[in-house]
Amino acid sequence: MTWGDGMAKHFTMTQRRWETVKSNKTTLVGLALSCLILLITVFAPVLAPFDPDEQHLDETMSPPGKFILGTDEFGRDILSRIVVASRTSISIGLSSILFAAVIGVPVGILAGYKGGGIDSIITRGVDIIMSIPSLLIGIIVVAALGPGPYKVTVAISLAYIPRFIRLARGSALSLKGKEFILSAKSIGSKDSRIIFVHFLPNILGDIVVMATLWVAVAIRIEANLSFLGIGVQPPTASWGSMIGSGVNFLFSAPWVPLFPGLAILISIFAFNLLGDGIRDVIDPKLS
Amino acid sequence: MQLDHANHLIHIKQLKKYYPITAGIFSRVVNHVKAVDGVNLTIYQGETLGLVGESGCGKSTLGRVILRLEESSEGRVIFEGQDLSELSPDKMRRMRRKMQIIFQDPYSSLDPRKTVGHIIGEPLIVNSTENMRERSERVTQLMEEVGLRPEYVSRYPHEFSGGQRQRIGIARALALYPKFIVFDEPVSALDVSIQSQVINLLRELQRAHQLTYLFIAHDLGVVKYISNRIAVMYLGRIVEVGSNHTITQKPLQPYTQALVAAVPIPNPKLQRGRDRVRLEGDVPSPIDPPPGCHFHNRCPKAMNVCLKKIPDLIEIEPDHLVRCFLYQ
Repeated sequence: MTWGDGMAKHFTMTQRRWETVKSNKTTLVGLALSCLILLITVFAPVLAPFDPDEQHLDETMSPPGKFILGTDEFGRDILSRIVVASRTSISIGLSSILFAAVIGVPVGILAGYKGGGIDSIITRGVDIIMSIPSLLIGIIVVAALGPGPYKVTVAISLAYIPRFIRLARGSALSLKGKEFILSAKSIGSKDSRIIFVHFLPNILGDIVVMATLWVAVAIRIEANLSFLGIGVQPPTASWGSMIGSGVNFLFSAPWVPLFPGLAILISIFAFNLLGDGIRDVIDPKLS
Repeated sequence: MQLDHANHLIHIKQLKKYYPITAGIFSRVVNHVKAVDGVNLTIYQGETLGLVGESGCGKSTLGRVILRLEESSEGRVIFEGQDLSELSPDKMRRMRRKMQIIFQDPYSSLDPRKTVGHIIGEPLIVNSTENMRERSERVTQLMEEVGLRPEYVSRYPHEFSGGQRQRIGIARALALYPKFIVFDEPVSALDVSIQSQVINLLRELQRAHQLTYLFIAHDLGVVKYISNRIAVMYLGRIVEVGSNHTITQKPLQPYTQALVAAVPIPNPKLQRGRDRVRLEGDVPSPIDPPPGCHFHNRCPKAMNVCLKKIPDLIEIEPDHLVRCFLYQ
């Protein structure tokens, strides 16, 4: 096989990576769970046994039984609401972190690689934004733009861009002294190529692991904003707002806040396992 | 090999590289590390110029500043009549294909996430000179040339030994048909048995491609084996330049004499009978070097004038430059 034989090379690479995934049980579990969650998100309206907004007023707060996971204070089926709410929560969690990473990582690498004035300006900016609690940034942005799922996504992204900048900058700094970066420069590579072809693949492991953790935090921030009434507006369900309103019944009807909480727990767990797995797969030393 | 002295490839004039030391919240510059302090050198077409000196004397920095991998603080590097420091970043980028560098550490000089084929082929991608098919042919050819089996093309750097990795780096440097290659201690990290293999490979490649080398090392034995001329550096300054024979047989500058005396002779009788100059102490800090001649505090022949004035690098016989008051 020669190097130019692109198809064959790609095949063996993919094969090699798939072997890594298969050999690692936790990665497989993470992958399976994440796929399941995404499928539920996509087919939510079909999967939900009831209309998530329909109020069964004679059966409010009924424990799990006829309604598989019980009903809430308005008699709405909790399972249906969790299934439909996955669309809001998962999409806000994933898209806000993805957006923040796409903006933050290249900027962070640039700061770490170039150093000097560019680095000082970017780092100071990051410090300023990081000094404001992310919930407060969310409140400010939503106050300026108004509530709604897209605006919440923007707000969470803004809060997480500086974290990605800081993370990418740190990783880039540790790579900057490596001679393969100088080599890339000496063969005439442009800075953009050095950043995306040499820095990015080498720090992607760190980024992916942190990003999967931050998806979880993003889901939580969305929950907080919705709980404060400035996130996703009722009656649209999100896991955060379900917990928020259910917390009042923690002792009298624990199933109301418990099951949406479990949904968050399981998805975060799945994304973290998947993140760890991705890190192993993209590292040639472990394949 | 006969050197064509009329034909110089690189002219280095008063080259300086100072690293600022800052303090306080406003990053006030309080002092400088004078890594390269006014170097003048000429590198002739097709020669190997060895550059020796102790660790921290600035020889690696000099190599990088010549290639403009680090910007110089002052001075000029003239490559084929072109002043490199005047080139725009874009023009400099296009100039880079003519000059390459091989690093000391074969472990950090290759991107761990790229296959060998990608690493060697990357210079071709960056300079988009070939299509994919020509590129893969060239990669195969380069791997054979440096003694790597072309079957290894889709392996990753961590699957290779130090010597093989250094060969990968050499293949990458050769990909663009450069004229000039800086070797920054290319064999210091390798086993002695592998060192000679790599050095012989470098000689073969030089002959085959009419390459010009700047060979940086702290081991005079290795430099003596490969160089046509040798330059000796001490604390950012060149103290003696001459032909290989001159420097290794009749060194004049006391520092060079000490360096030459430190190379062991593989004959115990001769070794014992040698009249040796031994150096005491360490290299002084380049932040605050001794006044006058930097070497005066370790020099066995120091005179009063050495404390006060800096000696010039002067040509005391054809092609032999010495920086020392003993010969002025």
